[in-house]
Amino acid sequence: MDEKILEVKNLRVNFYTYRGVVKALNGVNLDLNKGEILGLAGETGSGKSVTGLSILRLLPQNARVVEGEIFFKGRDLLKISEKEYNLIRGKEINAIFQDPHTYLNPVFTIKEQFKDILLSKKDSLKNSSKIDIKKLDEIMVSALKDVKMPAVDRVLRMYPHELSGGMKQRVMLAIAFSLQPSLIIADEPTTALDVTIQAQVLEIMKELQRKYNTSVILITHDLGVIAETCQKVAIMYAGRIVEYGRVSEVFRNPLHPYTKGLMEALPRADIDVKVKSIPGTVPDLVSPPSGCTFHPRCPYAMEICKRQSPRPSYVKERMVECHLYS
Amino acid sequence: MKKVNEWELKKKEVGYALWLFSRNKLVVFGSLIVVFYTILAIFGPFIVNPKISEQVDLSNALKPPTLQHIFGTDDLGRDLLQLIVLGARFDMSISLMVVLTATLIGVTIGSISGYAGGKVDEIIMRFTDILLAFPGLVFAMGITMALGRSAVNLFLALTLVWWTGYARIMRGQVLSEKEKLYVQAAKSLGIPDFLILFKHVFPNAIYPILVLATMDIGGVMLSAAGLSFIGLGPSPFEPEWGQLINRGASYLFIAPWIMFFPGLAVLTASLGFNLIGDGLRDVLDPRLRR
Amino acid sequence: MLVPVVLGVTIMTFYLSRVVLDPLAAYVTEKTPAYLIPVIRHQLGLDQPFYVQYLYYLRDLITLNWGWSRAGHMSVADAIATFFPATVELTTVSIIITLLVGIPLGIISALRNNKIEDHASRVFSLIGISMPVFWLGLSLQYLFTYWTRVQGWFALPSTGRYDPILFASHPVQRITGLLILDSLIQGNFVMAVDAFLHIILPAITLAFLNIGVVTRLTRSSMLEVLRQDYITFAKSYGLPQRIVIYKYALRNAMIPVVTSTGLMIGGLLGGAIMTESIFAFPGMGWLSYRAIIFNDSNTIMAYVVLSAFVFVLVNLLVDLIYAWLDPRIKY
Repeated sequence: MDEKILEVKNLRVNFYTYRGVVKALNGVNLDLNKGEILGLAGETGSGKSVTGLSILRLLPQNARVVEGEIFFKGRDLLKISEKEYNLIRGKEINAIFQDPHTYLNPVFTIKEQFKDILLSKKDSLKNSSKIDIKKLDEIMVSALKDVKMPAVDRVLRMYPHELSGGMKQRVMLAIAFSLQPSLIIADEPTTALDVTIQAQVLEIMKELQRKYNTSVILITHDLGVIAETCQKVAIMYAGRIVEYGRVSEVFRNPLHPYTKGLMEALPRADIDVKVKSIPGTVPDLVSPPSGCTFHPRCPYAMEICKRQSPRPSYVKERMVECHLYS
Repeated sequence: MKKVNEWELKKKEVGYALWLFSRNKLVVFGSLIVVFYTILAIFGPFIVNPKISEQVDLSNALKPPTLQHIFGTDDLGRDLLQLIVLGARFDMSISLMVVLTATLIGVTIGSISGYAGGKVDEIIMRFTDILLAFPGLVFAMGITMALGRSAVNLFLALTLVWWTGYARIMRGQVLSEKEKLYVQAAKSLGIPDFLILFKHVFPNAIYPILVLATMDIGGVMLSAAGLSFIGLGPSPFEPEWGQLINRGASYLFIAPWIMFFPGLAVLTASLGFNLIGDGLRDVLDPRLRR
Repeated sequence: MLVPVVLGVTIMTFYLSRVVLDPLAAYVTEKTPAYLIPVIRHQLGLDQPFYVQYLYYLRDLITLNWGWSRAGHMSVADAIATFFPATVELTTVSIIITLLVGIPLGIISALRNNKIEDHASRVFSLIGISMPVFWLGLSLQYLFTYWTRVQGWFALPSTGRYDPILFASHPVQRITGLLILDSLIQGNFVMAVDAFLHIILPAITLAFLNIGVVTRLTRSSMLEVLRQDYITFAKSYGLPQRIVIYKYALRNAMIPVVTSTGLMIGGLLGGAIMTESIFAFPGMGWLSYRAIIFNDSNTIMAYVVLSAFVFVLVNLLVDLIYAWLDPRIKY
C-alpha cells in the first residue's frame, strides 16, 4: 500500500494587492505518496508556484492562506509555529528553484553556503553531538559527486557567478539531496537552462530521487518534462486542479477540455498534427469568470458552465473537474 | 482599444499614487509645514511689522520669551517672532530659486551630455567629477568671498554647486533609453531620434528629478542659512534665519532663545520638504510598493 | 579617474588663485611701499605667461612649497600637518558613531517595515537630514556645557581639542598627531579621556546628519535584498533568522552603504567648517574658516587641493572595499 506523505486539503490563498484581492488558489486538493514524482502543470498564473510556496510557507508578505490544511506526515504544516517549521525545512522538505543564478547568494562561496545549511541542520546528520569540519567536507564532496560535478574541490571554493547555469542547478540539487529529505519541491528547475542541460539535470534528479526514495513535486509548464519524469500529474487552471491522474493515462486520454487543449498545443515528433493553441488568456483572478473559470475559453462550454462551478468527478484513479463528466 | 487600456492603467497608477500619498500622514504633515512657510514668505510683511529689523530698542534687548514677545527679543531689542516671520521670505525663495535653476541647468547639460556622447560627454562628466571632488560648502564660500557678500552671489554660488546631481540623473536616463530598440528603429526610419528620445526620457526622468529636487530644497535651505550664519549672506539688516542664529551664538549662554527659535524655523522648514521628498520617493518607486 | 580629476582640480584652483583671488594679497598690505610690488610680482613669477605659472604652481604643489598661511601663522604645509590629524580624529569618531547607530536603526526599520519602529526611525533620520549643524552644535553646547552645569550634574568641554592646563601637567608626545591614539600609546589615560570628552560633542553633531543618511540607505537596501531569491532560498532551508539576516542579507545590503560612507568620510575629512568653528576644534574646517576670514588664498587653495585629493583617494578605497564585499567585481 502506498504511504501518503503529503495531503493538501481545500487550500485557498489570497494575494492582497492594490488592484484588489487576487484569489490565487481556490481550493486545491493534492495527495502525494512516498517516493513518487508528481508533476504540477499549468500556464503562468495558474497557481502552481503558489501551491509550492504555500507548502514551504514562503508566500510573500501580502499573501495569506485563508483556508485549508497541508498535512505532512500527519502534521498540519499550517498550524505549527515558525520555529517548529524551521526544523522541518531543509531536513524534511527541501526546495529547488527556477533560476539558479538568483537563488544562490552572490557574495559567498558555494562551500560557505552549503556549510551553513548543513550546520543549521546538524541534528539530522549522524553523530550529531559533535560535528567536525572534516565530516562536513565529506558530506559536501560526496553530495557534489552524486550530482556528477567535476572538480568538486575547486567548485566548492568558487563563487556562484563563476559557475554556469547547469552547474549551479546541480549545486542546488546536491544541497537539496544532501540532507536526504522526504519531500522536494522543485519549482521549474530546468526552465532557465539550455535544452541539453535540462535533460542532464532531470536525469540526475531522477537518479537521486530513486536512490533516496524521495517524493518530489515538480512544478513546470513544460508537459514534455512531466511526461519524461513524473508518475502522476495535476493540471492547474485559475487556482484549481482541474485534472489529476497517472501520467500515462492523462497523456493518452485527457478528459478536461483544458488538458486536451494543452496536449494539442504540444508539438509532437511522432505524429503529424498541427499544433493548436488555446484561444484566450488566463482569467483575471481579481474578478474571475462566473461558474467554471475555464468556460470563456472552452470549446465545449454549455449553459450550466456559466452558472455553476463543476464538482470533482472521479473516474477510476483519476479526478476531473468538468460538467462534461458529472 | 489597446491605447485606451494603457491610458486607463496610467490613470489608475496616478490615482493610486495620489491615494498612497494622501494616506501617508508624514507627507501630509510635511505639506502642511511647507504651506505654512509659503504663506509666511508671501504674506509675512503684511502680518507683522515689515520694518521691524530697523527698529532698534536697546532698552528692550535680550528679553526672554514673555507674552509680549513670545520668542523674546534679540541683542538689539527687536521682537524675534516678527524677525523670523520676515526671514521666511528670504530663506524660502532662495532655496526654491536655487533648486529650480540648478534643475534647469542640470537637465539641459545632462541631456546634451547623454545625447551627444563621445568626447562631449566625457568632458562634461569629468567636469562634474571635478566639481564633486570640491568640498561643496568651501566652494560656495570661495565664490561668495570672491564675488562679494550679497544675496545674488549667494544664489549664484549655491546654484553652481547644486546642478551636478540633476545632470547625472538626466544623462543616465538618456543613455539607457538611447540603446533601446525603438530609438534605433526610429533612427533607421530617418526620424530625428532626439524627438523620440526626449518623448520617452522625460516621463522616466521626471520622477527621480522631482524627488531629488524636493529633498534638495531642504538641503539648499540648510546651506544658505549656514553660509549666512558664517557671515556670507545678505546685508545684516535683511531679516534672515542663519544670520539671526549667528547673532544668538554670541549670547548663547545668557540668551539662548535668540539662536534657538530661528534654528527651529530652519529645521522645520527643511524637514517639511524632506518629508514630502521622502514620501514621494516611496510612492514613485514601484519597487518599494506592495 | 584619479589622475585627470586631481589635475582638473589643480587647474581650477590655479585659475581661482591667480584670476579670481589676488595672489599678491598674502604678501602685500596697505603699508607695502608701491615700488616693492613689481619686485614681489616678479619673485612670485606673476609676470610670467599663464602656462609657465601653472607649471611653477604644480612644481610647488608637489614639493609641498605651498606658501605662508596667515590663518595658521606658519607655512601652509606645516599648518596642514598640524590641523589635518585633528580632522582625521574627529572624522573617525564621528563615523564610528554614525555607523553604530545608523546601521542597526536601518536594519530595525527594514525588519519592522511600516510598523511603528520604522516610522519612528524615519522621522528621526529625516530630522537628522534637515538639521542645521551649526544650530545643533550650539544647542548641544548650551545643553551639555551650560545647562547640565547649572543643574550641578556635569559639564562637557565646549571648545578646543584638549584642556591646556591638563596638557601642561600630562604632556603627550606627538607621534601620529591623533591625540587620543597618541595618549593611549604613551599610557597617558588622563589626556586620552580629556581628548575624548572634547571630541564627543562635535563628533555627535557631525554624526547626526549622517545617521539619517545611513539609516535610510540601510533600510532601503535591506528591503531590496530581503526580497531577493537567495534569501528565499536560505529561508527554504530553514536557516536561522539571525544567519539569514545578519550574514546573508546584511553583506549584500552593505554594498551601497559602503559607497555613501566613503563619500561621507571624504566630505568629513575635508573638514567640517561649521562644526569645527563652533567648537573651536582646531582641524581643517577651522583653519579654512579662518583662512576665508583672513582672505588667505594660499591656505584656501592648498585646502581645496587636499580635499579633492582625499576625495579621490577615498573613492579608490571604496572601490577596494567593494571588491572585497562583492566577489563579482574584479579589478
